[in-house]
Amino acid sequence: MHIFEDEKNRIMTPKNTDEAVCPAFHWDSEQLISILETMTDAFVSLDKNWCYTYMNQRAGEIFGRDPKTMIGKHIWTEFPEEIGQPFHLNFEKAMKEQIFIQMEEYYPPYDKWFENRIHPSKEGLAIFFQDITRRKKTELALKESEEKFRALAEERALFKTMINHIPSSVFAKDQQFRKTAANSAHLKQMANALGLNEPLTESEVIGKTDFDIYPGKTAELYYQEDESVIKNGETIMNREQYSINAAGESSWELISKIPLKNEQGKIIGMVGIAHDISELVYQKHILNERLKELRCLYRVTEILQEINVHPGKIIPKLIPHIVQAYQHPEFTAVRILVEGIYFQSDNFMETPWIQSSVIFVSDKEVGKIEVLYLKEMPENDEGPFYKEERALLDSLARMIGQFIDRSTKAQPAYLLTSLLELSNDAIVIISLDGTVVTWNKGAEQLYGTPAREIIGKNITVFYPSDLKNELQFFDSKLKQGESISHHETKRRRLDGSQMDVSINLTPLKNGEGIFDSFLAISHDITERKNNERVIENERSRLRTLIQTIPDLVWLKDPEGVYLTCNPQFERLLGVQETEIIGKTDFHFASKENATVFRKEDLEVIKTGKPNINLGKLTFVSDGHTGFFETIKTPMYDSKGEVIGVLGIARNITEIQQSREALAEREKQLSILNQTLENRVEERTAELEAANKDLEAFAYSVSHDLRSPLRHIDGFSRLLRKTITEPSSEAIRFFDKISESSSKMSSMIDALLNFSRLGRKPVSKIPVNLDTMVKQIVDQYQPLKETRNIDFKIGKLPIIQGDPNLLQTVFENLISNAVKFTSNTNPAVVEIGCRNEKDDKHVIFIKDNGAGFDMAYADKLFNVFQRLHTTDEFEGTGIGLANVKQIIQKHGASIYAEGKVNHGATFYIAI
Amino acid sequence: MGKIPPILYAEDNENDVELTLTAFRECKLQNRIDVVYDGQQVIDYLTYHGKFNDRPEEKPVVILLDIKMPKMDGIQALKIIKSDENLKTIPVVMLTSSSMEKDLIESYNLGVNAYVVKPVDFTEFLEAVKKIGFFWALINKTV
Repeated sequence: MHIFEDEKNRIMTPKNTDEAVCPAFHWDSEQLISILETMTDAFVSLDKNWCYTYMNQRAGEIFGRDPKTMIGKHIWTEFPEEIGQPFHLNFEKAMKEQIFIQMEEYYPPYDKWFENRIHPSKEGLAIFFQDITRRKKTELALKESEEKFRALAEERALFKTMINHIPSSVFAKDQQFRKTAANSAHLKQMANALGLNEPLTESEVIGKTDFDIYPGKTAELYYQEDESVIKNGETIMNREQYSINAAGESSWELISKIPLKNEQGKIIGMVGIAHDISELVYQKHILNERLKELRCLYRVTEILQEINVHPGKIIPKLIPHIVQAYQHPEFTAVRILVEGIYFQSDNFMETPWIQSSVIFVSDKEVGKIEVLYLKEMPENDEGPFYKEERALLDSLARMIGQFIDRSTKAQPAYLLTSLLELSNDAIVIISLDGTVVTWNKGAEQLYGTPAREIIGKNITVFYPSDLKNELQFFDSKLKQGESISHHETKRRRLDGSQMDVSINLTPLKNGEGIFDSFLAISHDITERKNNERVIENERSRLRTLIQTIPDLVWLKDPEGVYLTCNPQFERLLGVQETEIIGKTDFHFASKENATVFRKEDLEVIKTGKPNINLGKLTFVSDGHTGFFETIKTPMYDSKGEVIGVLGIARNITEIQQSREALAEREKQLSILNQTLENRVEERTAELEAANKDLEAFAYSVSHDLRSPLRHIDGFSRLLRKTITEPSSEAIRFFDKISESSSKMSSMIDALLNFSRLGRKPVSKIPVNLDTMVKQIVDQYQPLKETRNIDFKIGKLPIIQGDPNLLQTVFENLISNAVKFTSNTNPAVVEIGCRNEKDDKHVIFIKDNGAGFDMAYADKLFNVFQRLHTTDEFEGTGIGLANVKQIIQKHGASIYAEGKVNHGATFYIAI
Repeated sequence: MGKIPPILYAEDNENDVELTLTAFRECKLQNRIDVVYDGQQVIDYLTYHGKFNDRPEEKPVVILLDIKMPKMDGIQALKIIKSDENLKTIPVVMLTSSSMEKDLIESYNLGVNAYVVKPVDFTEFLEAVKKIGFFWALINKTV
């Protein structure tokens, strides 16, 4: 342990530390300094007077001083701010107590932490130190976060405990609808919903969706609701939900669902809270039921207050109020039986869900009141019924009993009702104003209307419209105490069906001895009446038939005695029916004839077959005669016994005459037909011959007229060849010959064509003139290059016609227009149509060309008629003749207007 | 065949015969032209009957028939020719003034080989006859 004298030697050697310079090794000062300068720790040494004896390069860097300048300087002069601070105190302590001190401390001026190892010696202090700021900060941060975490954990535990103690269900779900939290109440509630005894555990629930836990339908329901919260951010507050768990227990819950958002406001899930409010709801329900029962009792009491009215009118009024008192009014039916009469709600039917209570009048059972559910309802105190409802029903039965007791005493007519019910006749009691008081089973059957529907209403609803004042007639008699017996009349059921009835009416006195009502007993006599009517109708029809039939009709019994006859037969014999009946033919005819008639009658009776014969009869009434066909037929009764012979004689005089006349006609007709046919044949033959002639003529023209022309042309050419040097005059003559023969040839062709056209039949179909004319005009387009010509085409109709023939017409007329405007500049050809009032079209083709003199207008359409010289305008002169022929064949007409040099217009009226 | 076969021409009108023969001459046809004056003579010619009894045996290269002829007309003659096994291969050309549709249709129905309407214009007539001659006598191949 030594201190070097010079600078290099003034190094203190620490005592017990590894890093200290170990005295056992005799480091030379060079080595030492080299170590001190290369080590990473900073190092300073101080003498007893707190002056620096050494400072290595690292320390210099930390302090930002040059180590060389620091030697000999007083530490606390250099770092006065540290006086009294931890470094100063520890350095003092180490020096004073000569102990090794290791310390870690923050040095504010440098904002750094340092670890100092202070080695004391008598000479001073050797201090190694390191910048530990980074380590220190990490340590501190770690510590801080640990504390925070602990605090959080505690908070969370507290919160969880708290939530678990809340009696309401609390749960949370994440964005994927998975449960992220569930409190004990919720776990219990879920178990309950699934019908389990033990609550679910968190691990069974957390991370699962409702689809993993609940049945599909329930999960679907929850999912839809959760979706609106999680996806749309909606909040559901205090929704009441009814549910039935797996064990069949029902419950009501008040549910709220709130979206859960992170700090950025993004929805990350939801929280749900549910309270069980079953008890509350149940209490409310019970309260409501009691209220309904009370209301019913109140109304029934009120209704039963009425006296002096027949119970039949009162009891039905109770029914709707009783229905309303029950837990499920929409499925409740009521029936009240009193003294054998049933009163019931419209929806009444027998079901097994029934509650009933007997009605007593002075300890005697007079009926019962029944309430039925139309379908199965949840079990309750008494079947599906509450015990309170039983109490209600019993008290209703008592009240009705008391009411009947009161009414019975007040209303004597009511006593009859039980008696009336036993009868099968329709027995009713009606007050004099027509109000129905009682209505027994028999009446229900006869009128097809139940008592509950008619009691209290007016009986006249059953009266046909034409018998409405029948009641007044009854009244007038009944008021006087008179009865009405076997009154036959008609009644109309409510469904509209009519019936015949026989009624007995008896007036009834009230307590004050006044006739105020009556007893009516009715029978249905419809069938009897109908039978009577049918028989009467049949009889009258038959009678009319026999009376009006033009034939003679009579009936004789098997003995030949007349039973009946019609007026026609009367005329034959010339006496009235009354004088005929009871007599035989021997009375009216000669003995021979009467014998013949009798024989015929017997024959018919014997064979059972009709006898027909023809003969002439003379009428005694006016002496006229006729030819008659007489048929005699046996007549049998329902047992098959012959009861007589029916005779019918028909006048066939006219038929006979007609037949003869007809035969004559037919004969004449046949002769006439033959003549006609012959004439038609003749005419056809003539026509055929004429056609043949025409054809032959045309053929001949075609064949024979041409040949000479050809010869003229041919030989004139040959002649010209023989002339070696023809004069110009001769050449011109030859040309003329050629030209003429060619002209005549084309005239022959045109004429042939014209005659052919005349024989051609017209086949009409719809023809669109618009397209036809446009196509024809299009052919003249090239003409526009050499001529100033304009075509104006208006809208043209579709007409019935022969398209080929009409094509010829328009080709001719348009080519004429073009031809006759060849010297006009500018030339205008106009084609259009006017609609006349009688549905005819007038088509016109107008040009501004050469025109014509109207004086020759009638010649225009003649064959080979020309109004211009060939030099002016070429042509065969047959075009317009063709046009006219075609137009006439179409049943149309053509005419022309024109003026020389002012154009021409052709009109086709079709 | 070393010999040039003749053309048979049936025509009753002398003028027509003359003009037609002139036309044939103009086109310098090598074939001899045998002229007959009615349908019956056509058949006689072809079957070596009547005045054609000792005619040397040769088939005409083509028969030109007028329609309107005395005794037997051209259509009848055509009918006989075309229904005869030996004769029906000889080409028959109707050379006529008639442009009637009826004749045309009937001729074709009977199996005529060509139907020519004689033009009135002589220049055109010459042209037509020349063409007939060239085609049927030179170009067309017969059995």
